[in-house]
Amino acid sequence: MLGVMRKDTSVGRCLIFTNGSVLKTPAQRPQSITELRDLSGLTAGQVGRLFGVSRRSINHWMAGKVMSPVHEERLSRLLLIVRGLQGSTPEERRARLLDSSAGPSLFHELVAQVTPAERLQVSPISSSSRF
Amino acid sequence: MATGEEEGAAVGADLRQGDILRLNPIGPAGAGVGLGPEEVHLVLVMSQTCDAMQASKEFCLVAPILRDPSAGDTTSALTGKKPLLVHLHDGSQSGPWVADLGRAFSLPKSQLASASRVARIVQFASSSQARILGARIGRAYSRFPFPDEVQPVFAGVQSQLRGKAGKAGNLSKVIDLLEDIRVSADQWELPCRNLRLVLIVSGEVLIPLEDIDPAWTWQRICGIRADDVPGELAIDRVCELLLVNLERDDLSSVECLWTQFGISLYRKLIAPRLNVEVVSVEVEVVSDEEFTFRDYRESESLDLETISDSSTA
Repeated sequence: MLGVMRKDTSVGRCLIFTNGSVLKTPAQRPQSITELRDLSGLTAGQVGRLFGVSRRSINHWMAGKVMSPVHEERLSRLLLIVRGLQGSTPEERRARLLDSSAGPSLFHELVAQVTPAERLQVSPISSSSRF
Repeated sequence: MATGEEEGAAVGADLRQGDILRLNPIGPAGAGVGLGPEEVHLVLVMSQTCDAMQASKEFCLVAPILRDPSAGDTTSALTGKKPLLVHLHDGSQSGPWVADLGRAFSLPKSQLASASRVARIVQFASSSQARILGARIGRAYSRFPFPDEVQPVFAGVQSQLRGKAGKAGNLSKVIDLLEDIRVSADQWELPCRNLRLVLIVSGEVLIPLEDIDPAWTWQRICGIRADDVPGELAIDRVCELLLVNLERDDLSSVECLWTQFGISLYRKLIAPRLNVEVVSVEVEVVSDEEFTFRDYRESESLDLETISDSSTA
């Protein structure tokens, strides 16, 4: 596929294909993850839980550290959701995300989508058997 | 799945931790652990699979399977009440079996080669079955020796759980939701200990404070009554509310109720039993996402079987 690298100061460096599609390069990621955090009003720890990573990872991503393709894809999906939330301020969008008045909040539904690693540490007995 | 169908085939070098073998008479090798020299015995392979399989390792550790375990021994093995008895089941009709780790002994692998396999408890060496069996075997030998003087502080929780309504009660159900119960202390060897009791819950059922719905109020708790006062709830009442709100997935209410659970557990069951040996206990409910590796290093999983009499196991 043919493409040309252009410098665009608003979105960082992009590879723009002849069909018009855009491949984002790492330079764009810090802005996207920052946008997710700023728009949502969530803390770095909360954003981390949306990806299943630590707060430190979020800070590293915001500073430009490489993100895995699976997390990039997740970031795109989360940005779409957050951009579509009602509310004009981060506080209002945060309140929407955490609203649990009608069941689990959207935030916790999103956190529940994260697949945990296989569990290796097991407990040999149940907790109540310990007493 | 390995079952009785495989009986008769010699295991050769294909040994795995969790295999139950039918041994040919082993002569005097079993004398020290009460196995008759001329009898056929069932044993559990305790050695780790890598050691059991490696040709360079000459011996294999095995534990006798109880011939006719009492109902009490089977239950104790199942629940872990007797750490030296391990309950084994391969999912077939052949089991279950109870292995007695207190009579574990080593045999040359050459003596095991002609044994037949009765059951294979662990189907894959890296499976959860393998990890659970390994944890049960490890527990028999690696429990932290909590000082006997510490036990009275937990007697209230113990009696509540073991009492008439304990086993099927709300407290028991809530305690079983805990991923782990860990204890740390400023020091263990002298009186005047200050303990920290950490009840660890999955992050799925205990959200961080910052995730609580900003519009949440105490009145939103499902089942709450006007006379339910924060900090004053009876332990069974907190547990009842916790279970109801967990069912409804109201994680903001559940977060609050876990905090109330810690408060009630301390006030009703632990604080009245503080003494010169244990002068303070801080009870904290945390999620598995908040419990740090440092916390882990400084604490030990609470296992009161280490304190109570397990000499019969």
